[in-house]
Amino acid sequence: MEEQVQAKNKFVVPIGPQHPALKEPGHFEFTVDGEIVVGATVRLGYAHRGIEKGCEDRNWAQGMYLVERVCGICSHIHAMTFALGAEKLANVTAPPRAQAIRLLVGELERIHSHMLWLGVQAHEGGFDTLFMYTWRDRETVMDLLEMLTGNRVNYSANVLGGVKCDVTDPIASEILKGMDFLEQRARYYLDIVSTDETFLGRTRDVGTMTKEQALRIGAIGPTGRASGLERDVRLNAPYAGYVDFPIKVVTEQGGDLLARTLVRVKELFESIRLIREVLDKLPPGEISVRMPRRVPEGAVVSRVEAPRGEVLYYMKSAGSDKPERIKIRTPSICNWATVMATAVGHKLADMPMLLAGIDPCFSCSDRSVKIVRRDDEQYMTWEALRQYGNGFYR
Amino acid sequence: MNPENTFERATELLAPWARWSKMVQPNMMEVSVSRNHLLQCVQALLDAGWGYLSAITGMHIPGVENTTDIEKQWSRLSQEGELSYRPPHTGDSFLVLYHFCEGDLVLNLRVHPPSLEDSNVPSLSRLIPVAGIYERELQEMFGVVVDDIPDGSHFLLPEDWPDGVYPLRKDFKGLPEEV
Amino acid sequence: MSELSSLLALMIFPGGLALLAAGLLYEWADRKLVAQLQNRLGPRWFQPLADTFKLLAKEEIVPQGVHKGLFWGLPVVAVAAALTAALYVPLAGLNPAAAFRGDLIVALYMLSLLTLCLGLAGANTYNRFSVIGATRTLTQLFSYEAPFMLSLLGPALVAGTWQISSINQYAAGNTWMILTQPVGFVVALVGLMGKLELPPFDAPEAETEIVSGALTEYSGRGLALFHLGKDIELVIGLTLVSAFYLGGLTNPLAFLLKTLALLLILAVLQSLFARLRIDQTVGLWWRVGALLALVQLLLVIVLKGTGVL
Repeated sequence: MEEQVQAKNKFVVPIGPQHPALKEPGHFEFTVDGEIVVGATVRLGYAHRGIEKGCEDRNWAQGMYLVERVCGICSHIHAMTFALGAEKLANVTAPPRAQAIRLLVGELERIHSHMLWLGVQAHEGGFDTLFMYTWRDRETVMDLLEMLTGNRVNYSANVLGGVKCDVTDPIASEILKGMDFLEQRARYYLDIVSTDETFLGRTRDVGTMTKEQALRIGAIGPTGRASGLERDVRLNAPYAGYVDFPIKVVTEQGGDLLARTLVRVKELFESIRLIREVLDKLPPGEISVRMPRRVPEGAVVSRVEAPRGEVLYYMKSAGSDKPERIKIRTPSICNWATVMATAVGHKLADMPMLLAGIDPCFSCSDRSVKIVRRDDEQYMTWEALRQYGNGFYR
Repeated sequence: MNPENTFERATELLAPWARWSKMVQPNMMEVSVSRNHLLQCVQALLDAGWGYLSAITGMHIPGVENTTDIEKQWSRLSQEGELSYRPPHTGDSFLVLYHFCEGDLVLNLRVHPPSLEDSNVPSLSRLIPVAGIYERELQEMFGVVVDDIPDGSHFLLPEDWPDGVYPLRKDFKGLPEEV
Repeated sequence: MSELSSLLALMIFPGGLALLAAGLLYEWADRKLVAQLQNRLGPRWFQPLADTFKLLAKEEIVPQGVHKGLFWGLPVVAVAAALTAALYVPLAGLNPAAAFRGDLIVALYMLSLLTLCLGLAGANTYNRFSVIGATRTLTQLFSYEAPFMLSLLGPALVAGTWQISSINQYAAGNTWMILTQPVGFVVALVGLMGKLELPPFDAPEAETEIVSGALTEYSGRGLALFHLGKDIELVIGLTLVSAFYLGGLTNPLAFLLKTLALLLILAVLQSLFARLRIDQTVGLWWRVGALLALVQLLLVIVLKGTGVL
């Protein structure tokens, strides 16, 4: 009876699947008592595309292009993780220049992702001016990526066995110019997020997570690093170019939204430093090596630090030209638990910022089923789509 | 990252329950444990602060039918030492891998329930909250039954997804037209 | 003849059409200024008008479970209240269409009525976002209303009258009160932002949390009317504050310059801050705003009593 009365006084506020706060579909239910959140649940899958299953039907090279579509923001990261894993299975090592270029694109992507996030976070907090400014400046890095790889998103910089785009001198000087501009802007943003009283009012002491909590819940990436957790695959298990170009991990002790913001803004500087260093000491030589079509039997775990945290691929090969099993664990999915754990006790108004605070990527979290409806012309089969695509570009 | 946390230390920690272990890659070790001991193993790793649960991978292993395959499986199992713990599964089965990461080391706890029908594994979510999410995915994608899962509802698949259809099984080739 | 002229006053100028046009243009100016400050292009000059026409032409979907009369009636009441308030203020620097002793109180009440209607409209539906938006709208109403009122009371006390037109005349003949009562000016300006639910006081319609707050269920005419009401409120608010604090409004040019200057300040303020949570808004108003306005008011009373002013 008492439960019933209590339930009456409480209110379930659904956020999503379609809601202006979320640019991607995800469903959250916050139980609120007045303005205070007393419970939270999450439900994903609205952007489920069947990539894990799809990988099993494609050969290794096709699989790499498919996983690049896991996420629109960190597409390079997924392709790189896949390529690194497949190369390890096949006992192929990409040449040093390719590894350095992988790092370069990865760090450019991190800048683009962090700036995108900063804009989203500002927008969730009703600070639209900052949102507009960051997204305007983000265009710089998008243009650089386009110049380097040919695409603004889904760069397709990787091939199995290396990369397919080289850094020429004019491109390098353009990138350096862009870095100078971005560094200056990043300094400005750091100043804003750490001094603007209204923004501080929305981020300071909101969603605080101690180091112990972060450890227990399993926070990773900038979310964990904001709680003082020194967890960064680039440092712990260096891959690609990070072996030769080590990073300095940025951590904060606050554990609140402010700390998460600061970590990401400070990582911009670290990325810029790294990009300059790589361009300065870019190893000469080939950018790719031959990769066998069939990959020997075996299993490998490939881990890469995405802008949002650790990406883990478990890749199993049965010795054929197709993977036996590809398991993708994206960082957002680990960090959902941190939102659910820290949401309780906060105000409803903090929820969008708290949700955005982990830099969630819904399409990352959702993967894996394909529904085949062959007769319905609304839905194209893989073959039909491929034929259509080939015909279109011919 | 704790430099003392090596594979030797992990082997030591898991010694009471480990059936066998092998190095899959220079930085990846696989330890086979019984599902009845899984919780103790995880607890031991947590207590010692060895790594963190990074992911749970499910796998559908199709059954073996012809005799050569069965022989191959037998020889593999006896090599690994698995055979002294259980008879080989000839039918379809699930393999569940719990990936623990520490620095650049990856430790896979390998649980292999005997058959599709008897595929219960215990839930880790009491020890590691985030495991609940991985287990929800495991449950709906493969049909592995996770015992004591706090929230066993669909995580990724739609509410109206037909019961008993598990998309990541090898025999799943798409939903029937009428769905 | 007097009936005709009051009808004209109500329908064409200063009420009715002229006010609507002014409201839409001021909304455009506001949006354009904010856009420019945010490094965007902003809307074309007729965009608010186009929006209004589009909304007026749209079907109003009445959700289940609402009181139909209220659902239809509240927007009308809101606009009517705002239009009525316009009768007492010196729009375009001309004498108000109607004036009597104490019309300041009536005008302020009419402006609050719009917010009340908004709150009721939200509470009328079953939509959770609307209900939360309504709660926030009303919470905000209670927080800014008192300081805003107090800040307008200062000039009234100095002028020794509660009639808007007389205060306007007094202001025109004396030192600008922005200089003599700077605190009152700031509180009035920020109070106006709270009243109009402009950022950073837009928690009641924070789109990233509760869609569009109390208005979530409104889609057609109702929404257009509420928007018009807001626009009119913007014009009236700007007129009031500039009449009181910026040396009165005596001719159309002064009206245009002074209100637009105020609008520019509003636009800058809007783009400078992140949104305040509703608890932060309430805290700010009662801890800082009300206190400051009260101090200012006491000062005015004391100085007046001792004969300095």
